[in-house]
Amino acid sequence: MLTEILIYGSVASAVYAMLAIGLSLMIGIARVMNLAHGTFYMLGAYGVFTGAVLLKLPLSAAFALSVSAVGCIAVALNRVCLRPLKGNLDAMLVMTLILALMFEEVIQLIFGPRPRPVPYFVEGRLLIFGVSVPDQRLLVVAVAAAVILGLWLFIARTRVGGAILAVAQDPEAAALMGVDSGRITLLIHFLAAFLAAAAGILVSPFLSTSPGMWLWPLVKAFTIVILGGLGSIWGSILAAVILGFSETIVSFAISSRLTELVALAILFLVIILRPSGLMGSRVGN
Amino acid sequence: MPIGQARTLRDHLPGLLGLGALLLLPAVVSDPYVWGILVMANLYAFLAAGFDILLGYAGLPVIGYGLFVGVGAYLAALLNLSLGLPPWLTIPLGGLGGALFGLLLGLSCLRLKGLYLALASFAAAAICEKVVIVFYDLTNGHEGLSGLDPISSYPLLDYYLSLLVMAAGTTALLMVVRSKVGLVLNSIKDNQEAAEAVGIDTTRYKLLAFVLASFLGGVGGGFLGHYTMHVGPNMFGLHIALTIIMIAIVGGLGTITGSIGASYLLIILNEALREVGEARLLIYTVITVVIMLALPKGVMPPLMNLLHRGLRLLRLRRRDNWEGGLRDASDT
Repeated sequence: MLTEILIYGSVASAVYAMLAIGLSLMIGIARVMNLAHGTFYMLGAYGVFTGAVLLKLPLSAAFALSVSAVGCIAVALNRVCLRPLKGNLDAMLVMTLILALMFEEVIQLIFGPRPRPVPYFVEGRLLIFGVSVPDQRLLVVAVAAAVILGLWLFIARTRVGGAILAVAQDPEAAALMGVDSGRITLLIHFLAAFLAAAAGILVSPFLSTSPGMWLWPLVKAFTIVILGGLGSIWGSILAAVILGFSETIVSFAISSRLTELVALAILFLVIILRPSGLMGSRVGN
Repeated sequence: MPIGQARTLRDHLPGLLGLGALLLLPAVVSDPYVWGILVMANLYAFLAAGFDILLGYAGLPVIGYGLFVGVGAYLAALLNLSLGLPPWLTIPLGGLGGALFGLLLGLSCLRLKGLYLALASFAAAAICEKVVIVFYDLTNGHEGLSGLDPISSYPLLDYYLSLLVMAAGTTALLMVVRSKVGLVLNSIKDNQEAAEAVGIDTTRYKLLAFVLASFLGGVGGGFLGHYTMHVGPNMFGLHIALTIIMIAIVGGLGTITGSIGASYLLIILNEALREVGEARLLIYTVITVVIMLALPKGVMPPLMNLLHRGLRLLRLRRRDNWEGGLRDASDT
């Protein structure tokens, strides 16, 4: 059982880390409290369902199409719906939540309310210390690690990444150095949606792809960002591991129906008792 | 509208006209099915007005407003089903239960605003929803409780009772926000530190906003439960809370009366589009997004402006001096 907890905990942590890092960038750099972040996850899953199952495209093409389409939707949403609110934080919160509900309804109209199955990307199982694990779940961990490493290299090693860090530190100083913060904001929207969509695609074969699937990943991503503390990718990864493993332990030890309660309890208690999280600072306001 | 200024009949005219129209509505429309829809319009107007106190006046985005609706509904249902108390007793008690939860949530979230308050209130509502499902013996889990006593056995009486509750609730709220309290809440929204610096006990006023809004939420939940004769865990959830929030936004935050207009507007629109298919939330969300972008103050303030202008053109031209101009400027 210990091995199982380790394996399934890692899978959950990997998915949560992808969601939370994107959200952390969105809040910290684009300064958008995005309650529609889970929507990108849901749209990614439906995108790969459309590409791979309905249009019968090769898997890699469906993946690439889905993440870029979701990235473009995020950029368009920022342009059309968020920019006119001119940084009014409460209006942004409500607007993004309403947009999330709107997308749920649109998807429900197109694909119906029932879950749509997505086939496994890789068949087969691997025996690890006597536990047979589907390759699909191992693929999640591998892809998540690769994507997060790639993102880190992009931010740490490229000029554009430097511009992102500059905007994160001080938007005005960055603007004086010639960084176009509007374009950085759009880039961040694209990257965050890309990460969330990739997470949604990876889990779509073993979690059901349904119109309401955006809500709990959203709650968990916010739990992680707040628990980890803003402005720290490592804080987010650490918090993702904490949440992923505590949920897995609770679901193995008590009941899998309580996992959502774990995230909710952590979220409520951290906000009330330690709003600055484990490492880092308070979000917004 | 400046606070403390003596009100003339003219200032109350739009409200009285509206109330008169709603009182006479059943004389025009004699279909009990339509009355049922109007009951829901009244209830959602009442609930949205309660939410308006939080976001529109005090600037508190309590996305978990469903917490109060759910608590009121379940308390009313349990009191009615197990103790046999009648609706006219269980609904106010449901309101008190909601207010208690509002006080508790307000106390634990006193230092929070913005994103943190939104998430904490959402988490509180979702935790209660899960707890309700877990305590299966008492609450019947996902199925919820059925067989509550109806409000009355006459559709027309239901309509008038819901209208009474809605009119009483919104009038009480209007009296509160047009007193000093409204000003103080607005000052907290604009700048809490500045409000504290001039000696305002912001804690007390924020808690007052929480208690008022959650009392309305509880009463609305109890009424809803008795009217539909069913309560379920989804009453705590995001869909009902967001419907309420959208009505408050479409009507115009910080107006109270806007919620009434928006509730009737959206519910009638929804019925008119029923043939297109059951896409109520899609219609609501699209309209709300468009309104937020095109009319950030909601539909009510521009409408009231037009109405005032029309009234002045009609026959009150004599009173159209600098004072009237000043009033209109503060209305917008």
